[in-house]
Amino acid sequence: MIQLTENERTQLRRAASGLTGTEFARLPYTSQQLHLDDINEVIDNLFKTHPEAFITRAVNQWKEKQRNREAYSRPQGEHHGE
Amino acid sequence: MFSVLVKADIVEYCKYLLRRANFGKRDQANGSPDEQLTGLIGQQTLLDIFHKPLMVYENGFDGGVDLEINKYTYDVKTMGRTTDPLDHYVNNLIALQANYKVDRYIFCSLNKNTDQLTICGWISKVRFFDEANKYEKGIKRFRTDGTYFETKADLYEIENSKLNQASNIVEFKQQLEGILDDSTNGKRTYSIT
Repeated sequence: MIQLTENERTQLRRAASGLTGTEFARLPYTSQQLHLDDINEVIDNLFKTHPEAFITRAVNQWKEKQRNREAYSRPQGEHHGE
Repeated sequence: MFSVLVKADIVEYCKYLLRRANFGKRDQANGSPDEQLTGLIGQQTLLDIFHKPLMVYENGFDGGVDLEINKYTYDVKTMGRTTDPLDHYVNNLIALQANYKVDRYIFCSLNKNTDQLTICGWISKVRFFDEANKYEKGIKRFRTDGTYFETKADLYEIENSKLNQASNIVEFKQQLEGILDDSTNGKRTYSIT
């Protein structure tokens, strides 16, 4: 197990507690996505700071996800298809 | 048998994985959340002992969960208890899980009061089915304290005393990392100390 910093430990505890699966399922879709983004940030940070702690396949998938996120992200206020 | 203290970070990490997985699937996976957490803690602690990569969430827990040591694949089975296990305690395996393609099983017991994970022992799959007792669905299984539960599916049970055991981490790692002569096909070659 990697040595977590106090900040990482706090983030992990926060992400590991809170809404239950049932409560999450009741949220509107956009709120679910925001919530997932919030708790995914924890694992994103761990991938950034401790890539050696994960299997190569997982790290590569995470990198691809980051690239896609950058490629497809839109500036605030920009609208398409309207 | 020997015990290790489960690291607090491992517990939090497993809780996180479980929460993330349940959110992703939007329904509850098999087993209660408590049973799932117990299983994850056992698996992650074993991975930690062997300095293997962390489990990750990838449409389930298939990313790096399988423990592979010295070309053998392992299925880690962890039972949650409120006491430490004894030699006559049994480990369960649901018959449906018997088809999983693994070479060996590692059975563990998590004492939820002390956060101690006891590695009860390991056994090859072939030998497991020689040694285990099979109980059909619907049979009452009595515990040593007199309580019982009714099997919801066909079930295999094996006593701790029939497993290959180690008395400490070093011995356990030696057994799994290849010191053991496997010409015995996983038969017990170590005495219980």
